[in-house]
Order: sequence, then structure tokens, then C-alpha cells
Amino acid sequence: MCVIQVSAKPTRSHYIARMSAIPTSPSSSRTLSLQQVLICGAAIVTLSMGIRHGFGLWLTPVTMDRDWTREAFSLALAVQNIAWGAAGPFAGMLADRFGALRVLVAGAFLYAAGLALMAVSTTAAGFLGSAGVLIGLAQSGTTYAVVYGVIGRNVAPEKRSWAMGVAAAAGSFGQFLMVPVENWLIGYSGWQNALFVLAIAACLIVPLAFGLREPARDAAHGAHHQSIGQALREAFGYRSFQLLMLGYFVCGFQVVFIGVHMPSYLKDHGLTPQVATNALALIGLFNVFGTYAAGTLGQRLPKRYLLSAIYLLRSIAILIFLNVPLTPASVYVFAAVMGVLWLSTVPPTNAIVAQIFGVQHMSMLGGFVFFSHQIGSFLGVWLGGKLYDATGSYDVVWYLAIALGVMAMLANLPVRESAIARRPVPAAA
Amino acid sequence: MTRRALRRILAGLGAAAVLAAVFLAYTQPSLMQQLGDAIWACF
Repeated sequence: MCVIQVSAKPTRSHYIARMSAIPTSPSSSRTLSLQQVLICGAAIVTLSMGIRHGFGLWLTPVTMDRDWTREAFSLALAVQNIAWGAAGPFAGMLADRFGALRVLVAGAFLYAAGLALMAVSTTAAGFLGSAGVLIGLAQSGTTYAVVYGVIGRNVAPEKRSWAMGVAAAAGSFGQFLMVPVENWLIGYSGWQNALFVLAIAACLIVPLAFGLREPARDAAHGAHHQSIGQALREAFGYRSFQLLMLGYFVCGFQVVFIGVHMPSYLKDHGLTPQVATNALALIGLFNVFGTYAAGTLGQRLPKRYLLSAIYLLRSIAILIFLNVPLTPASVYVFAAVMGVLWLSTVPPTNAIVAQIFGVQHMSMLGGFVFFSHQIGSFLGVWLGGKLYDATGSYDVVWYLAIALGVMAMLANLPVRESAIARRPVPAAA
Repeated sequence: MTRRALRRILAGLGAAAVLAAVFLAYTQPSLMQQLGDAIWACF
């Protein structure tokens, strides 16, 4: 038996391309079937990504009914995003260590509790705790990082990127689907009952999670054993991981800046809310195609080039959008193009992480990469408002988004997709 | 046409129909109004 010894400070000699020590195939001889992983994983991500996506629809009924400020509502959603990102690595660690099933089940119950408490909270602090903290934690345990860990461990490398694309497309579909569904629920049953219905829907994650219950992994099966500390030192000391985090940071910045501030930008230029709503629908629709296509292309092309192309195309699309006359047609074309590029970074980024570091700590490392995405998201929202207030327009932030896109394009080009080399050493007797 | 190809085409058509139905849901006036309110109020 061999174990892989990783020194505290990885040196250049560790990183020899095309080594064979890391098992890139599923780490156990017994794995879940592809269909089972895809159906259960996709359904879980559809629910977890979809439920939260329409929360903006509760703004008016909640603030009117409770007599809260809009700031209180917005703060809860901001905290939710940060909690989601910050808890991601820890949820990933637990999933890697104890299995995704437990983390998914705990996440589902936290989700249900958060939604139910949202409905009954009568203070802004209670709302912050439920809609902000609880649901943020729940998302960290029920979204991409945890599900991708299962995909990584159970789907062969030659299908992994495609499978991640399927799961990401399911999440995109959930976002697209749940906005009208939640609007109907609020209108039909009232905002509180709608939240209770969603709490029940979140509980559906529990039986689905049992479909992702992995067979006990055989420690001796071609394994490399790495502690969490070793895995973190290795990843954070590896240049390609740093570059992937940088790219994902830009992804968060661009997507959330556009999602949050574009409606105001359109309003400032005299376009109606209907145009913004149509644009939102188009982004949702094309996002489904984009994430699936990115996963499929990632199976055939070098993923670093795919990521570079996505960031470059985003910058080009924004540049053209800013320099053509602003009409409903130009907004719709921009929304469709950005929709294709919206979450298309998710499958290739996570697939590269699995390719470089293997699947033992994949959920944790995916959680760290996603945390950088959420920091970018936070800055995209915050800087958008801050620079608008300072300059009286969004121009500076739009051009910042273009510049960051070019930077992310360049950053992804030198990423090494091959498995990191580790020194195999004989295990202690 | 093989059975597998037929199944793929039917699956594709089914997915397209679902996506089209969801997209049409966005064009309902009540949702337009709700989303418009939420968007302008939020941001």
C-alpha cells in the first residue's frame, strides 16, 4: 500500500505534471450509478438553488406586514449570501469526512427551519437569523460543493465535467422555475403559507439525499491519504488553485453586479420595469443552456481555455452593450448572451479542482473556491452602489467589470489542469 | 431512426416544452408587476 506524503510547504518538485498517484477515477470500487447520482443530485440542486432565488418577491408583503424597513430585509439577504460562502468550506469538510448524506440531511432541515422561522419572525433580528443565517448555512450544505463532491467520487473522469454541467443546469432551471412558482404561491396562499409550503419542499431533499448515500470507501483502494491541513496547504500553495479562485471572484462580481444593478441602470435610461423583467426571464432561460453546454464542452476541450473564453466573452458583451443605443432589443440580446455565460463557469471550475487535487477533499476545496465567488458577489453589489453614489452613474463599475473579465481571462490561461504530483512513499508498517 | 435517437429527440422536445412553459409564466401580468415591484423596490 502507498500513501502520499505531502510536505508542509509544497515545493516546485512536488508539482510534476501528469503524475499518476492521484486516483482521478472514483475512489472506491463500489460507486453509485450515474443515473442515480444525476437524478438525485440534479433534483437536490434544483430545490436548493430554486427556493432561495425568488426571495425578492417577499420584500413587499413582508415589509408591509411587519412594518420593517427595506434595509432590514435586504440585510438579511446579504447576510444569507455571506453565510452561504463562509460556511461552504466547513460544510464541504464535513461532507468529505462524514459523507454527503449527513450534510445534505442537516442542510435540508436547516433550510426548512429557516423558511418556517422566516414566516413567523416578528422582529427584524429574528428575520436576520432565519432568512440570513439559517438559510445561508442550509445552502452551504445543499448546493453545488456538496453535490459535486458526490459526482466527483462516483462519476468517471471522462464524464465528470458533463455530469457537473447537468447538475449546474438543474440548479439554473430551479432558479428559472421557482420565481413564477413562488409568485403564484404567494398570491394563492399568502406570503406566510407560501414559506411553509417551501419548507415542506425543502424537506424533499432528505429522501433525495439517500440516493446520494455513498458506499463506505475502502481506505486501501488506490488511496492517497491527506489530512485537511495538508490538503489546504497544498491547494493554497498551488498557483493554479489561486488563479481559479481569482477567476471565480470575478464571476461573482460580474454576475451579481449585473443581476442587482442592471434594473436600476435600465430605469435610469428610461426603460420600463417590464423590460427588466423580460431580461431576467431571458437570463434564466439561457442560463440553463449555458451551464449544460459548458459542462459538455469541458469534457472535450481544455477547461482553462473554456473559462478564459467565458470571461472574455462577458467583457466583450458588456463593452458592446454599453456602446450601442439602449433599446429593449439590445437589452434582450445582452440578457440572452449573459444568460449563456451566467453560471457556465461552475462546471469547468469545479471539474478542474477535481482534476488537479483528486476527489478526497473536493467538497471542501470547492467550498473555498465558492467563498471567493461570494466575496466577489458582495463587492459587486456594494461597489455598484458605492461608485454610483460617488460618480452619479454606473459607468465606472461597468468598465471595472470589463477590466476584471479581461484579468480573469488572462488568469485562467496558465492554469494547469493535470493532476498535482505527490510523492508516493511506502506506508509505515 | 433508432429507438435511442427517437428517445433523445423526445426528451429534447419535452425539455424545450417545459422551458417554454416556464418562460411563458414570466409574461403573466401579475408576475410582471410583482417582479417589477421587487426589482425597483430592492435596488
